[in-house]
This record gives sequence, C-alpha cells and structure tokens, in this order.
Amino acid sequence: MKTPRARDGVIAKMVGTEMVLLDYDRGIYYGLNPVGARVWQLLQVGETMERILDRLAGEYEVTRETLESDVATLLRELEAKELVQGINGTRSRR
Amino acid sequence: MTFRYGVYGLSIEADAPIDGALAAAIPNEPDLRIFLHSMPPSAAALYATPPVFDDQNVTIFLDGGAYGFLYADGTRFAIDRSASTIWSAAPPSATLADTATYLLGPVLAFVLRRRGTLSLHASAVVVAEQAVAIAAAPGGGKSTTAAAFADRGAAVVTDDVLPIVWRGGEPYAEPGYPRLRLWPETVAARYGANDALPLLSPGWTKRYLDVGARFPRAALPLGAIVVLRERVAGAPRMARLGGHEAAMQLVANSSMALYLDAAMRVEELDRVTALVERVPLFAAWPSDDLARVEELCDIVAAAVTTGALSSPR
Repeated sequence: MKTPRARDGVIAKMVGTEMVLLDYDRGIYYGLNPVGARVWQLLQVGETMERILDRLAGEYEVTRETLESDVATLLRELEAKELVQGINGTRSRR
Repeated sequence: MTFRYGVYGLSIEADAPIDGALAAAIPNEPDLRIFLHSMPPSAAALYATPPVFDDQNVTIFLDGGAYGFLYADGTRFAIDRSASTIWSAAPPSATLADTATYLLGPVLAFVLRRRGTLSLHASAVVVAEQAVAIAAAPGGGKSTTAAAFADRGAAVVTDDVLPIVWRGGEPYAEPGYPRLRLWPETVAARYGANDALPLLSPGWTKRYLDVGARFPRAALPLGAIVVLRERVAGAPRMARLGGHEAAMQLVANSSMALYLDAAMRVEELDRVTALVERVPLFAAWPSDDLARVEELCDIVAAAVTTGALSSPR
C-alpha cells in the first residue's frame, strides 16, 4: 500500500489530543479521535504504513491485527471523503 | 446630521438613527459608515450579478469584493469590499426600525466576519463578572435563556451575535446592543401576555426586552460557552465537551459561516481551535417545559462559578 498524503485544500488542527480536519474548498469539517489524529500526523511526516503501524503498536495496547484493521478502515474513510490522496496509487478525483 | 454608535466593538457613524443601538462617543474615523437611505452608484451592477446565495429570506450578490443583500420584503444592503461602508434602501412600507432589525442582526454579523472577527450565533450574559455565551440554532432558546438570566439580575452582553476578540492572549466578548428579541410565546410565558413587551417594529412579530439598565459598555472576558441542543422532557441537563467535538460545535454555531471563502475558513479554524483551548464549552439540553429554564440558569451559573463539570467527557 502506498502511503497517502493530505489532499491539497485540506488542513488539520490539533485540539488537545484530537484533531479537526477542514476541507476548506467545500467548507466541510471532520473530527479525528486521538488515534486518528496520530495516524494523520504520522502520514504527514512521510512515515510508511509499516512504520506507522509499528509506532502505534508501541503507543497503544492493541493487537497488531486490530491496529491494521482500524487503520485500514480510517484510510478508507479519509479517501472516501477525499481528504487524502495516494492510497494504492490512486489520485484524488478532484 | 450624523449619529454615532458602538455596537459589537465597532464604532459606527450613521446618517440616520439606528433603532436599538447604543449611542457612543467614537473616534473621528469610525470603523463603519452606514448610509440608511442611499445606495452606491455600483449597486445596479452588483444586483445584476448571479446570486451567490439564495433562500426564502435573503438573496446575496457578490461583485468585485462588494456584497449585496436583498431581503424578501425588498430591503437591500450593499457592503463595500473592505466592510467599512454599508448602504441600504428599503421599500416605502418599511420603517427605520425594520431596517435596524436586519442591520443589527445578520448584516453586522456578516460585516464582522468580513473584517476577520469570529462571531458566534449566540446570546451572552454576565455571570461572576465573565461573559457566558449561549449558542443555539435559530429558535433553539438562546434569547429565552438570556431573558431568564436578565430577570434574575444578570447583565446581557448580546442577543444573537457574539463577536470574540483577543486581548493579551485571552478571548473577550464584545457587547452588542441592549435589547433581547423574543418570540411572542416566550413573552407570554415569561411576562404574562403576548403584548407585555413592545414590538421590535410594527411589521415584525418578535418583541424586545430592554436590557439597557445593566448593559456593559466594554468587552468582558469570555468565561464559558454553552451550546443549547434539542429540548428534552423533564429536567434540563448539561455536559462538558472537549476536543474536536467542541471545535465542531463552535464551527456549527458561528455566524454567517455560509458565506466564508476558503481563506476565511482557514482563519476561522485557527480561531475556533484557539477558543476551545482557552474557554470551557458545554452542551446543554433545555427542558421542553419553558418554566424550567430557571433550572438551566442554575446549572449554567453553578458550572461557571464553581468550576463544576470541569472535565471534558
């Protein structure tokens, strides 16, 4: 899996341990919980998916299998909302 | 002849009286000039552009950075690119009080946003020398709750538009004007009869409570934000919000957000997240029994004065 990146036109702001994403062209806001926020931060600094999973496994008490499943679900949601681009080589439709 | 006012932290010079606004000594160069009986030469072109927003109440036009508002009753406002001049024209049937009702509500809320000030769609009252914002969707009970606070002696800071300014790294609430606009059923429930309070203007059904006696002349520290949610059967309740949920509640309750461009949205996110970091935010569920608004006031006052409900859930 290719490491996705934030689409142009999306910005993120931390609020405590959580995060708000703004798709500013469309004026739509999204919220990420602390784990989602951490995944977003790691994506933005260019970590590979493997490294992201390693980091999260060290930070949260959860099985690798659950982690992989949860992160994959999050990335699918982010892609469906066109907040990221580059998963499996895909490009944003915009 | 000119008339000078201070509203929402803006110094205003107008060519006719603004019904409800508080007269103030202002600098020679006001923040905002308002012409209540004339439109600029560019108005014809402005109103000929395709609308950028249209609903059953208002149509909005944009041309070269200037905005035009056209209300369903024919009242028009033109706002220049720098949001420092407003012109208006009203149909012969409208009074200055009608024009002031639009002006002190959505039009100045829009001007604030164009000038870069975050404003919440909220009333605010003073509790323990701090402003407490009461935000809600239209009809959500913010003015009713503010009236209940006013009746127990609290000063009212604003009715429907709450501009937030930053001083020394702390958020402050700017006062609006000394009136609370109330629906007739609220007037009847609180004051005994639909006509117990004066009409805003002859053409409107809303009435107003004069809160001039304790109205603050200067901005106050913003101590808490309460977002009213749906009414519930039984007792009102309240819970602390934090994180992204708090930020998104503020975004949802910011004034005139529909008309922000991309750059302004980015700015707004910065301001909203800064606010969430500094000010406790609560969700409150008012009772569907209007008489129980007093209990909601008690809960809000206790949370602000004692720090109860202080942990975000």
